[in-house]
Amino acid sequence: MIMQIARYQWTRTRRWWPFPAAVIISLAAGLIPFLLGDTLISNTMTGMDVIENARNFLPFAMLAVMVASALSINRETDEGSDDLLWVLPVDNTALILGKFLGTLPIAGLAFAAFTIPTGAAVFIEWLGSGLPVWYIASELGIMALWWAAGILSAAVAAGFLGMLFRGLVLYVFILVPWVVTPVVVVMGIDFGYSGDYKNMMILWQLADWTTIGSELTMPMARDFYALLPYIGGIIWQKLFYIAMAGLILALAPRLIKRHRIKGGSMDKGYMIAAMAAAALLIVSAGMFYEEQSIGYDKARSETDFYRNHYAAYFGEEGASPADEDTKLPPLEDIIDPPLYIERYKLDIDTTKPPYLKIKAEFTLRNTSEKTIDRPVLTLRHNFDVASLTVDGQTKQNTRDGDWVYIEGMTLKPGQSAEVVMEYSGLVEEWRVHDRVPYLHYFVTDYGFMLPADYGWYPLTIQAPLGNLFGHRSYGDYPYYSLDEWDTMLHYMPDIYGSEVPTPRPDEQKSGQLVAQDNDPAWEASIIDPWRRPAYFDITLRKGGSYEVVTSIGEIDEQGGSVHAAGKGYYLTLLGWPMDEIKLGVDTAYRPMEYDGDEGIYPATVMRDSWNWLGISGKTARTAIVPFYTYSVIDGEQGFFIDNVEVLGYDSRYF
Amino acid sequence: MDISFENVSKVYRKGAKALDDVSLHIPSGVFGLLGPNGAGKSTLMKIAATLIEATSGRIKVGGFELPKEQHEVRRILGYLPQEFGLFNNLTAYEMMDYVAIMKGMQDNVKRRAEIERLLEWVNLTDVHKRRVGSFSGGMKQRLAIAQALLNEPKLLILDEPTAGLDPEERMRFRNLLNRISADRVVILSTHIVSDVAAGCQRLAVLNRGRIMLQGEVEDLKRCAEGMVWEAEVPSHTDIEALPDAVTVSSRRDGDRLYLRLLAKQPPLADARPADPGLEDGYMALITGMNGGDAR
Repeated sequence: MIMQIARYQWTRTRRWWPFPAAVIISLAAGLIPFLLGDTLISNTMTGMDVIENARNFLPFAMLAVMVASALSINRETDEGSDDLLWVLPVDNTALILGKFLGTLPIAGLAFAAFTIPTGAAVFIEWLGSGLPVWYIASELGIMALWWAAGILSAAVAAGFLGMLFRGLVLYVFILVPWVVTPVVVVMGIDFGYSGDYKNMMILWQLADWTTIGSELTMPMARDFYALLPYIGGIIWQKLFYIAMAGLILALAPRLIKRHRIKGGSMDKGYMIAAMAAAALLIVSAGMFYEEQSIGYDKARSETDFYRNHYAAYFGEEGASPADEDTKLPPLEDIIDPPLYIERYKLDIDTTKPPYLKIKAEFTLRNTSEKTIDRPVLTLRHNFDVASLTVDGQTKQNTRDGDWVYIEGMTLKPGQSAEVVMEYSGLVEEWRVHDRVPYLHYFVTDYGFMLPADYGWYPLTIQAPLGNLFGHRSYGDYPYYSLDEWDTMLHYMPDIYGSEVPTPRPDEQKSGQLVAQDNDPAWEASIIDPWRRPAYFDITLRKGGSYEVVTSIGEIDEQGGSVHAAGKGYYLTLLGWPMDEIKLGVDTAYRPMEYDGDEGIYPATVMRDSWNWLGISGKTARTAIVPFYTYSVIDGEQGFFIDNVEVLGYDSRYF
Repeated sequence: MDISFENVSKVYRKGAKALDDVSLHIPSGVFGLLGPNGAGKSTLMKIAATLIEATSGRIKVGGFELPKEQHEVRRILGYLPQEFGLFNNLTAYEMMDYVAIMKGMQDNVKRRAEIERLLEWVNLTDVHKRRVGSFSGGMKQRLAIAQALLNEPKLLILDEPTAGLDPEERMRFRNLLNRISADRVVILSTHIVSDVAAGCQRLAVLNRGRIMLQGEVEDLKRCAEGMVWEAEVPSHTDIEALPDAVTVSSRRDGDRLYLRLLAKQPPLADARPADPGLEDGYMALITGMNGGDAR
């Protein structure tokens, strides 16, 4: 009976204008990203870019489906035939579900119309990329889940509303959630750094029904690998809305009883279906909470670490360091670090993600004119030092924040020592940016991101690594923000006051204790921890078949082992599935879905800049990574990282 | 098979009392429900058709109690509302098929035969592939009657069924009604007395939510006994000014006006007493007149 009713409901639905209108609007919404050009996110597209762009227009398809479904499911009320319908001796469940099923093809065809352009574009991006079949299947799968959850839930919710209301009231009920959701999400709610912050933010994300807020995904997750850390949250949020649609469907015969006596027992099958949908709704909400909590909790934990160890510097202005706070060194040691490492030999093991294991051999020299007891090195606090030898003798170490004190060691002025340090730790740094957590530095199955400023190898500047040297770009400055939950420290001047020299960038000269272009985070850094070059000799074992990029030079890969050596002011390591393009002596790495000249622009520009200025002997290594990262443009080391191609020439290229 | 209303009242949300303590027994056969517009006929029909619930009172339809056993009543019900729309973007055949399915006619062969037979009865066979939305008012009315007859309902409620029908269609409908009235209850709600006269064995008159009369057709005629007068007057006569008289009908012929009047006393000097008809009885009842000298 249900299917017979559904068949005629569908006949009635397809013969009325809202159905083709919804499909055409959905098709148009799916085409808009392409009609507007590919400038919405980047000048070159990946499959995830296509999905990300299309997501912005999903709400329009949802609205069209809502209006069409709400009007079509209960046309009898509009044409005055409902008295004929509702006295028929048909079971209420069969009638209601039949009407829903007969209207759902609107959602199905609108889904297809919206999906075909985006799906085709995603597929075209994949073709010839060398990415595996499971990759495109996963991309299309998550896209289909995303669109289906939105459009299906829109159709069912609107169908339910359409059975209850008509006219202006109906449109209000349709438009209010459609408008309110994106408005609330786009505006965002600042809940501060209170304990409730996480709960409110997750609730806010869960309520992002149209997902116009873009708040579920990591900023600029431009390939599926980069989406993987967040995919659990996305899937559960989508299942939540599918469960909601299921629950509405299961309860609709119970709740919509036009000209039917109230009460009565509920069919056992539908009761089970309703309970299953309710269970999925609760479970999906719970799992979404759990998934989203991971990032928030880890970001919070990291933030709290720096709050606990460096409270005075993160706290309110004028606050004095508490006794338990980690003590910062005197300013002169920040301006001119007394220790210097001129040679590193690093044996890096990334085969057991998310852990990183390193054996670091380096020469530590006292460049100051005073004897140093208990020399201190800076190493990210999440690494545990397993063994430490100095000139072959085992030494103890003491941890304090991001610092490692070598106990029982003394370095006289000008004295050097050979240090061997083995350490390991979990590299999985989450941050909250724009109120949403994302993974910033990581070692995973599908790649790793190890910037120098993460402190993954021993440094001689004694400063907290809470993104001290990162996040510096035009118009954006490091700060400790309760909204951002970043582990960023104030500028050194904020800590040390006006004693820190602050010449303008155009007054900076080589050798001054001010920012140099070789700063990996490059911009406006008053204290330059990278001003002394070192020789790096690295051996890296990797767990996947991805490309490895270093800031120091070309790699030599044999089997699963990567070797590189070279001189540089810092060492940043990146591993990711990318295309490697040889451009003479230069190398450009780019997302695998790029083709032609896409993604080689930074290397080309850097080379042009050197040619114009007569700079020779350098090689460029540029990488467009398909995940969000702070950009590095370093003409000194010929190194570039960003998640989009930078347009225009820049003094930092040379 | 019969229907009984016991002390049924219906008060709408805004306080309007549509039915006031109505008690009525409707046996098998064609039953006429007469009353002026706004008398409460449609409300009574909708209650019997399970569309609305009475505020108070007891309703039994063929042994089933309403509203509790509304689904059982719907199984034996054919309903033609007074004002209705049809499933406009279905063809006549599709609409009949859709309704038949929902009436439980699952056998495809029998369903098709029944639909074709009814479309033939209402003279819509030639247009069965046309969409209902393109039908004229009369065609829609006939199709609505046909859908009400699907699955041979034991209870047929027809609310103003002849509205919109031309004289030929009306005749056809009356013949149809006589054919199908055996072994079932047909309630014919109308304000057109001639519809009732054509085929009803019993009737009731409803006015302002109250039953004014229920019984045989002859009982209604008797309501005007002694009050029916016929007269012939010049055509310029102001008949509205006749004292204590209700004009049932008037017919002009040249400069003469032939009148049929209800009055206790002769309303004009040359008025002649006449035998009462159904319409006279209905008018007498509605206007509250009784006990005249025209015998």
